[in-house]
Amino acid sequence: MEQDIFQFVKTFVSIIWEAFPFVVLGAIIAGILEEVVPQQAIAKLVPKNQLLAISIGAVLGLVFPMCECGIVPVMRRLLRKGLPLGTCVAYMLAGPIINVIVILSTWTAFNPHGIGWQMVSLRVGLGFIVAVITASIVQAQYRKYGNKLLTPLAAPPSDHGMLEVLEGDPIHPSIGRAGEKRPLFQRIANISETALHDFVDIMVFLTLGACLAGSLKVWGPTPEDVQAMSEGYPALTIIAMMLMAVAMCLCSEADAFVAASFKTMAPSAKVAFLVLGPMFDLKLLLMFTRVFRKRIIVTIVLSVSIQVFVYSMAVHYLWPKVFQPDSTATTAVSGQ
Amino acid sequence: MAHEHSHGEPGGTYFLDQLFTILACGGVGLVAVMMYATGFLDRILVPMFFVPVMLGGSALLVMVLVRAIAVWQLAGARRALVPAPAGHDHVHSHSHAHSHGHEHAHDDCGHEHSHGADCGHDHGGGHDHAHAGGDDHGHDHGWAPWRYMVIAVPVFLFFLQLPRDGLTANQLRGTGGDLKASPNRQAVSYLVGGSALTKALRKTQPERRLLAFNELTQAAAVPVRQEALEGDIGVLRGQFIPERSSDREFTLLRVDRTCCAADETLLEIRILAPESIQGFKMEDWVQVEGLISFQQNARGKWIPVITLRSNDDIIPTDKVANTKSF
Repeated sequence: MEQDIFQFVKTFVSIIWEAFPFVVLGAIIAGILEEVVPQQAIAKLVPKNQLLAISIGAVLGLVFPMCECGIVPVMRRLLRKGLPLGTCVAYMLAGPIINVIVILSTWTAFNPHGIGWQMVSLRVGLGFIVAVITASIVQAQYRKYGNKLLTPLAAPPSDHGMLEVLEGDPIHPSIGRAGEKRPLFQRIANISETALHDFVDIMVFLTLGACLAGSLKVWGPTPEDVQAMSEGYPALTIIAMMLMAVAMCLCSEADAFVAASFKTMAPSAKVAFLVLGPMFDLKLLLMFTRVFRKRIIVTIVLSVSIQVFVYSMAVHYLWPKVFQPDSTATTAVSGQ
Repeated sequence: MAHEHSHGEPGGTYFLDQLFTILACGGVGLVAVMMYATGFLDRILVPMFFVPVMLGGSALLVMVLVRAIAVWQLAGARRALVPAPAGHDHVHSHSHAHSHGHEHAHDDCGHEHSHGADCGHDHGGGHDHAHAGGDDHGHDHGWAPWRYMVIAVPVFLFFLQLPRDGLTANQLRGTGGDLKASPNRQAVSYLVGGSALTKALRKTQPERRLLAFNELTQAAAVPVRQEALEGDIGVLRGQFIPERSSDREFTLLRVDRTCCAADETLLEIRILAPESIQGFKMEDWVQVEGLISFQQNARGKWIPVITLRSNDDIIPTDKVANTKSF
C-alpha cells in the first residue's frame, strides 16, 4: 500500500508540473487578451461562413500551438472577445493534435515501426473531422440556447455578440469606453489579476484531474492488462484504449510514445487512444466546467467519444486494405 | 478605475480572496523555481521541461509581485473611504479604486448597480459575479478556500520531499521473473550448454557494439533485428535490479520517460553472470559487456539477454539520463 501511494504521488505530481508551464503561459495570454484585445475585434476577423470558421479553428494549432491544458484559459478569453463558440471548440479539440510538435512526435514514435506517416495522417485527419463535426453540433446548440451554455466567466458580453458584429460597435475591452488610456502599471496590474485568477481557476481542476489520473494509474488496469484481455475483440480493445486515454491524462506530445509501446495492439486501438486523449480526459473534463455548462460538456463528450469509436472501427477494417506497411512493420505490430 | 468590491461582506472577501491568490500563486511559483534549482524536477520530468517550469515559476512570481503591489495600493485607497454598511446589502462602493480587466467608470457602465431584485448579479453561494447587463468582468470573486487548499497540495508535497527519488516497488512489479528461449534454440542449447552460446557458435567474429538501451529493447520485438544482433557483444548501461530467483542474474533497467513520470515505461535487459553477483545494491548504475541473445518472459514478451563472460564485466558507472544514448 505504501508503495502504491508513492507511485500515486509520483504520477500525480508529475502531471501537474508537466502541465504547469503551459497553464501559466495560457493564463498570461488570457490576461493579455482580456486587457489588450478590443471586444469583438477577433470576431471581425473570422469568416462569416460557419463551417469555414470552424475549419479554421481546427487548424489554428498549426499557427498557435498550445497543449490541451494551456488552451482552456486562452479559449475562454477568446470566447469573451467574440470568437464564435464553434471556432473555439474546434481549436480546443483539434489544437492539441494538429500542431507541428505533436505531428513530429507521433511520426517519431511510430516511424521505427514502419507506420509513421500512416499514424500521423490518421491522427491528424480523424482529429480534424471529429473536431469540426463536434464544433458544428455545439455551434448549432449555441444558436438555440445562447449564453446559457456557457459559464458567466466565458460568456461574451451579449447573447448576440458572438456571431454578430454590428457596424459601428465600439471596439474596446469594455464596450462604450473606446479610446480610454490607462497607465502602464495599471495595465500590467490588470493583466496580472486576470492571469492569476485564470491560473488558480485552471490549476485547481488540473490538480483534481491529476489526482484522479494518478489513482487510476496505480489502482486501475494497466495498458498491458487492457492489451491482454482484449485480444481478438477489436471493439473491446478500442473502447478499453479510449477509457485508458481518458484515465491516463497524458500530454499529447507524449501519448504517441506510450501508444507505440503497445507492440501487439491493433493500430485502430492506438488511433482511438491518440485521437481521444488530447480532446477529452479527466483533467480536461474538470477544466471544461470552468467554461461550459453541463449540456455542452455532455454534447462534446458524447460527440467526441462516439465519433472516435466509429472511426476507429472503420480503421480496424480498412487498415489492411488501405495501408500496406512493410513486412518488418507488420511483424512488429502484430507481435513478433 | 473599476469598483472597490466591498460588497458589504464581513471582512471584505475580495481582499481575502486576493491575499490567498497571491499566497497560493506565490507558493506555486516559488516551488517551481526551487524544484529547478535543487534538481528535484529530475524525479518527475525529462530535462526538456526543466527550463519551462523554471520560467513558468518566475513568470508567476513576477505576476504575484505586481498583483501584491496593486492590492496594497487598493487597500490603501479603500482605507481612505467611508466604510460600507455592514451586512450583505449589495451596496457597491464604486470608488474606482480597484482594477479589473477593464475600466469600470460608472457614468457609462451600462448596467444598474443599485442591486434591486433585477440587478442581474448572480450572487449565489459562490458569489459569482455575472453581470448579465453586458459588462461582466470576466472573472468571479467567489471566496472558496478549498481552491487554495487544492493548489497548495503540490507545494506541501515538495516540502515533504515527495515524490521520493528512485523507482517504486510498484513500478518494478512487472520486471524480472523466469525467461525461456525459443523452442528451436532450446533444443540446440541443450547440446552446447546455453541458449546464448548456440548463437555465438554461428558468429565466428562477433562485433562489439556500444548500444543505446532502447536500440536493444526495440530489437527484441522484431525477429529480423534479433537475428542481426544475436551473437554479438553488447555494451550497455543501466540500473542494477537484483533478481529474486537467482543471485547470478539481475535486471539491467532503464526508465524510458518521454515527458513525465505518468508516461514512463521500464525497459529491461536480463543479465546472466557466471558467478554470484555481489557488491552492488538496488538501483546502482552499472555498465555490462556480454553476449547478446533474446528470450521470452512469462507474459510472452521478448527480453534481451546479456550473458557475461566474467563478473568483472559488471562495472559501476555514472547515471545516464536518456535511453536513446549509450
